[in-house]
Order: sequence, then structure tokens, then C-alpha cells
Amino acid sequence: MPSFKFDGEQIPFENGDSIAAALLRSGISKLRTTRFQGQPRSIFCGIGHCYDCLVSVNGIINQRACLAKAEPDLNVVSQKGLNE
Amino acid sequence: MSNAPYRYVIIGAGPAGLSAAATFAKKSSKVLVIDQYQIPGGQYWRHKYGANFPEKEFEFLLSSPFVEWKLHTSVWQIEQVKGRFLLHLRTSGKTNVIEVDKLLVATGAIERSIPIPGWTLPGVITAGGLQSLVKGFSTSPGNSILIGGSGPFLFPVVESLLSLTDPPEIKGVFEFRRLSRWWRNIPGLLLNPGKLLDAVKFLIFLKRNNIPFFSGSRISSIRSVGDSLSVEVVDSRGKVLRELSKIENVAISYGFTPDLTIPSILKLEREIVFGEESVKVNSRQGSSIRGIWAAGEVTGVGGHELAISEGKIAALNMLEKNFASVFAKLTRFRQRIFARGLAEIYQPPREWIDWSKEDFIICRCEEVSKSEIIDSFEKLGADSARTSKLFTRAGMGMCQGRICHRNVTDLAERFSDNKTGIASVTRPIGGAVTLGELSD
Repeated sequence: MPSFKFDGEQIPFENGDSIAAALLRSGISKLRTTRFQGQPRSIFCGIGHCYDCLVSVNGIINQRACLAKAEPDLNVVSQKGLNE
Repeated sequence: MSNAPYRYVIIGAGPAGLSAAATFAKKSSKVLVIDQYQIPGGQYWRHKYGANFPEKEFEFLLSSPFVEWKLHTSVWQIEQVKGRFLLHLRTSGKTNVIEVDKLLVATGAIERSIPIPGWTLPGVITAGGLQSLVKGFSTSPGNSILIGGSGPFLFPVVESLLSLTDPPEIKGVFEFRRLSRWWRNIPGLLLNPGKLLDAVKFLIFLKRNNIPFFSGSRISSIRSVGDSLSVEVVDSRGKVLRELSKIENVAISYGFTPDLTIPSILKLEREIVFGEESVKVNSRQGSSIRGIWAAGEVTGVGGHELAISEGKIAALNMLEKNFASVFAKLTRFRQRIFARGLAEIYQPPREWIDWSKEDFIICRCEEVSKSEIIDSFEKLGADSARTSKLFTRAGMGMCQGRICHRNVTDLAERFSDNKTGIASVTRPIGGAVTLGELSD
């Protein structure tokens, strides 16, 4: 099974998965923390409207994990706040 | 800049958009379909990558020589130049512009989320988000789940969850409206008897699968305890019915509201349809701007069958074959009566404002609380969701108010002096674009 990295951990995925779907299947729901209160957030609307599931993908921040396609060897990092 | 202009372009590959595309293809007219997802079908026909298209009638579109697709593509800006439209597109971080003669806006609806304490916790998801995980990726977000909210959408969500090979335990379905409200929709039911049958089937289905169902109840608050969630359920008077702990997921939906992002860029006229702000169209699905048509949920949330008939009517009119749409117009008439009835039965509750004495987040992006928003109306003189945004930043985050606008509007109606200051949705751009992409 192909896999990508999330915060250093290898996450397996199926062809066609979004990053969020693969993470949830691996039991990971906390995708980032908020800017002001540092609260954990996960996938909420699931269809790209709410921008709650933001992660950094290969160094590019603010990617929606619910839309971003899982691909081999991606380096996905949870975001602390919006810009780190 | 592209070369030749496109004659017909559809934004949105859901039921309305695909029905229109099918109409063009059957009349041997070339059409371009744009959608922000990787596969066509919209939310209603969402399916697994690589799987067959779920609706036989529209499967032929995928290989039709008349249909060009631009998938995984969002429209983030539209200019109007000399009666034509310049669509600014963004595909995987690359931007380009195409020129269009006639445009159909079929961008669907977004979920109507009603805020409650704890709705920002990981594990809490919209019912639509849950449905997208199940249908799109055969994945449940966890092993135990509660489903709450209001409306007929809760039915298919439960059904598809149970279709998973390893379904989660559904520990309860909590419908806010009482089933007895269905008598309000007698004309709609007489014209669409199949719909009543669907509702009865659902109740039998729940019973057979031992899923507890409570009508006239709602999930009132969610708390994080250790690794799981504790959830309080109350009846319509606010009396505690149940307290459930060790829940992994909560899915909530109070119906849908049109996605007015593209219509607001185009400054299309709006009107209230079935209780929600929608794009105003004439009997031929024409919008207030010449050259632009609209169809489907964006013109009033009424389900896929209504959307299909509207998409067909729009396409026939764009092709100037208006006389051919009589049958579709009859379907539209019948479906609209049913939709009007449903909207009345499952009206999103404005009472949510009084449900909780607690203060909690309303704008998820900018983390703005209910009390801050109320203060902006009572103390700072804000008179609409738009002016409240300037004081509080509610609606100024990355989602551009898609989730909170409707709820801030409810607060404005209640707490501001200006009772006519209800701001209609304005979103200057269709989605986040980086400065780097713009400078390319």
C-alpha cells in the first residue's frame, strides 16, 4: 500500500483517497490547532467549504485535507495556527 | 488567455449541471463543465474514485465527444466584458482565463450548520461531510456515532453508513422536528407520493437495524472527555433526555442553503426561495444578467429531481429550444410544491440563539464568540452580518463566512436595531488564491 508522511508518521492510503480520508482511517482526527486559542480542529464540512482541515503539504500551507489528494511520499504537516 | 471563446459553460457537475450537460450532448452541442472536485457527480452523486458513475442516465457524459471537462478546477473570479464572461480558473495551483458566451451557474448548496457548544471539537462533523467520507472514500470517521439535526437528508446518511463493510455503531438519530409536521405538506405529498413512501421506508429501516430514533429532540452540547465525546440530548423544551459518553463522532445537519459564492461575484439578483436566500430566475431559469442562467439548489434547495428538471430547462433555453422544455417544466412545478412543503416542515430553527446560556464560537475561522457578535450589534452599532464582520472579524476568515454568515444574520435580526439591514451574501472571490499564483 502506498503511504505519505503526517507529522513524521507513515500513513497508508488507497488510490483516490483524500489526505483527510486516509488520516481518519488511521485514527488521526486532529489536523491542526487554531491561531488564537490553540484549539484542535479536524475535518468538518468534508467538501472544501469550511477550511477547518488545513494542513501543510510539501511545505505549502493552508491545503484542505478533505480535497487534497493523497499521493506517495507527500510530506503532510499539521498546522499550528494558520501560518506555521 | 485562451483562444476561441467557449459557447456554453456549466459551473458545477452535480444533478443540475449534469442534466444540462446531457441536454447539450443530446443536441450535439459542445459544452464545457467545470467542477472543483476530481470526479463529476456533485455531492448527490458522490462516489468512489474509479467506481462506476452512480446514475446510469448520465454515465454516457463521461465519454461523450460533446462534453469537455475541467475538473479539480475552481472559478475564483469572473469579469464581464462586452457581453461575454471571462472566467478566472485555478487548477492545482495554476491559474488561467477562459472566455465564455453563455454561462450556467449550478453550484449547488452548502450545509446549514447550526452552532452549539462543542461543535468545533474534532469528531464533530456535518452530516454532509460524513456522507462525503462514506460515499467518496468508504470511510467512517470512527466506530460510534450520533446523528442529529433536521430534515430528509438524515435518511440517506444513515443508509450509506450502514452500507459500509464495517459500519460504526449508530447510537441514535435525533430529529429536531416532530414527524407530525408532515401534515403541512399534503399538496406536496399528493403530487409526489413516492416521497412519503421513502419516509416510511426509512422508519422501518431504522427499526430493523435497532437504531434509536427520536423526533422532537436535539443534540444540545458536546464536550471532549479524554479521547472521546460526551453528548447531551434534550427535548423540544430543553429538558435533558439523554447523556451519552464515549462517543467518537457526532454528525449534525439542519438542511442546506444555496452556495451564493459565484452568484455574488456575478452580482446576480437574489430572492428568498423556500426560506433561504437564492438566485432569482425566470421561468426559463434565466438570471438577472443576460447570458447567465442558474439551475439546481442555487436557485432554491429542492433536491436532485428538481435540480435535474431545472438543468434541462436551462440548457434548452440556452440552446434557444425553449418549446422543448414543457415536460421538464411540469416536473419542476410538482417538485417545487414538494420542496416548499419540506422547507416549511424542516425550517432551520432560529431559536438556536436561545438554546444555550453558554458562550461559544460562532465564526470557526476567526474564533469569534456569540457574545462578541451580540456586543457588536448591541454596543457597537453593527446592523448586519457585514458590519458585524468589520467589528468582530466574524466571516472574515478563509471560508469567507460560508459557515457563519447565515448564523450571524440570525443574530443581526434579533439583536440589531436595524431590522431591515439583513445583508445578502457577498464574497468578492471564489476561493483562496495565493499572491504567487496571481503574479504568474
